[in-house]
Amino acid sequence: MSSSGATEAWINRPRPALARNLQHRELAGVCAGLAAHLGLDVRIIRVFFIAATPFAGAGALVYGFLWITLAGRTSGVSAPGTQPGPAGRLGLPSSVTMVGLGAAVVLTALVANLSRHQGWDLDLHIWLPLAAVGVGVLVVWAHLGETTRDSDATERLDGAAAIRIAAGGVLAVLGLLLLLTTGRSWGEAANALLAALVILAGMVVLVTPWLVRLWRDLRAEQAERVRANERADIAAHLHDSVLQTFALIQRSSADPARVTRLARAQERELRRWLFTDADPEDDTLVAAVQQTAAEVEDRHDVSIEVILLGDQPVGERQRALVAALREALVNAARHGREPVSAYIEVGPTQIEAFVRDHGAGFDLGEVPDDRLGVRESIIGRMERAGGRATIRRLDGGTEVHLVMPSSDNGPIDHTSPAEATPPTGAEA
Amino acid sequence: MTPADQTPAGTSADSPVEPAPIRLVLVDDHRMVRTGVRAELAEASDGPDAPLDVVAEAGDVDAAIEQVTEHRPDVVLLDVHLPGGSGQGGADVLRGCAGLQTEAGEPVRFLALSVSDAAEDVVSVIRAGARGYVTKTISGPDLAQAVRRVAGGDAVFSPRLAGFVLDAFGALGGEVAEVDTELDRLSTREREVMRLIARGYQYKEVAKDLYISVKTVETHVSSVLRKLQLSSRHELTAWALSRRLL
Repeated sequence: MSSSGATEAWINRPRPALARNLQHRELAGVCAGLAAHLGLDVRIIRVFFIAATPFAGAGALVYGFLWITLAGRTSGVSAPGTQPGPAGRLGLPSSVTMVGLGAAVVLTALVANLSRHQGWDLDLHIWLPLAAVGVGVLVVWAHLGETTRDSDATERLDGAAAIRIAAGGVLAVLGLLLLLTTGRSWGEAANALLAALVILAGMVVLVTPWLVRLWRDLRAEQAERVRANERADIAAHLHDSVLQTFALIQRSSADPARVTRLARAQERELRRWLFTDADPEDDTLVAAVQQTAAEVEDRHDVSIEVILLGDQPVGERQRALVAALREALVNAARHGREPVSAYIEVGPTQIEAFVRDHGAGFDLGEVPDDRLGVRESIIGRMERAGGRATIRRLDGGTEVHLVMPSSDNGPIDHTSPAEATPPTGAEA
Repeated sequence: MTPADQTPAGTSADSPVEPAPIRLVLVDDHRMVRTGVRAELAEASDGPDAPLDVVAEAGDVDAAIEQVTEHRPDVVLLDVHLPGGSGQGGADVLRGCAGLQTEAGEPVRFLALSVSDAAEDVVSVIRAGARGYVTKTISGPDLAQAVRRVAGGDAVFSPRLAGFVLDAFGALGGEVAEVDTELDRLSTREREVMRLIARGYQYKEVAKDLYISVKTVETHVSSVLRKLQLSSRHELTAWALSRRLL
């Protein structure tokens, strides 16, 4: 049956280790971690904890116990019903938690009222302030040390976290004050408070230099660790690629063509790794063009200089452009002569690409119609995708001009002169 | 052709057959590179043009400033990355040699030569005063031509540098930016010239394409160089900041 089958599946499914889930937490991630481990909806667990709190603080005690004993984990499986991170810029807790907290407050007030009427002796004048102190401390601990990364990658204290810490601190102090003033006069309470403050100030003064040094050491440690990671990264990369290439070069020293090919490919890769921070997996036009040029370079043993201005995500039209670009580059490599250069300009309305070689060139009029080659692969491809290709024969080489309108605009009109035609009309 | 007598640098050519040699100082921290460049320039010196004469070499910033101040060459081939000085490599040498003149009264000109074509290196060296920038993969004859061009007072723009300029000043017309001075914007003609250079055109080909003379092309290129050196355009600054050049 489906229900027993589902239950079995639930029992037998792989469980992540029980740990606090720091990514999907409201307070300390205990509920989220439990939910992930048990495979239950996190909201159920949260409601359970809140409902258990008014009963002599059972829910809060268990929560606190789990908080202290469980380790935090930032990655990992998220349970159904969790949302990543604090919701909204101000970090207001999600609606479920708000409702739950509200219900807890109401329940506690009810219990307090009832106890007064029925004469139950619940010592609420002690428990409530204690609970307030407890909650305040919990909130402060949860968000102490939370930092955000600014746009320029410097860490600073998160504004939302600061608000929460302040709120928690105020709650804890209020609770303490309430505790102090039960059964005492205000004058005595004020004296006690004053004494406490003086002691606190003295301790802070004593401890501050040590704290400051500790903090500074921590930062230095972090920086050193980052540096070591970076160094390890570089070493790994160099080991994988550059040293290999050197070994290959030494072995192929009798074959100069192969040596040149190896050296060129490695140079290109190292240059890209050093000087760009683009992720090679990016799905952008720049990445696609660079990859295409690299492939043509390697396969046809020629150096191609690629100059790119602007960038765009890759769609159907861009793919067609890159394919036509590849054909033009292969043509230049096969039939033209070095230097081969490609200039791609991504404008607001269209993308333009120019592929230039310095060979003898070819005359488009001389290419017979039945040879697919240039006509089909470059010109036909561009036109089918809504763009245009022109091939110019220059004194010292050939230039292929590709134009592709960006996806927002319609296909360009072939009969009207486009915006940026070459200034002269020496079409082949 | 007999080797030219060592006529003092800068005097006008004695005869069409033997123009005064162009005096060079090579600055690079790799001895192999200096040897290689020397050999290539010697090879490219055979021909009707002025021979290229390497009078001194240097391997770091302080030695470079010393050699340039002592020999007052026409052109200094300057590597971008050098040890010594305040750590800025070629830019330090440029600053240390600012205002130097050859015996003929011409300013000492600098051509930057480097392996990397990262934006940082290119723009910082140009803004420090170099007249142009070529990568070390350049062929011998092309290098010789670039040296001669710089010696003649013009600028050398590789396609990649032209790409940087277009990127920094905005390749596409129709930008509605508040522009403070003439320095902060490329004229339409200059933009066209830069675009053709970025497409891999030689100066000759640019001239033919735009129906202007090669001299005019060189003028436009020099003007763009000046703007790149002096412009404090907001976009240029922002562009440099985004690449952490400033």
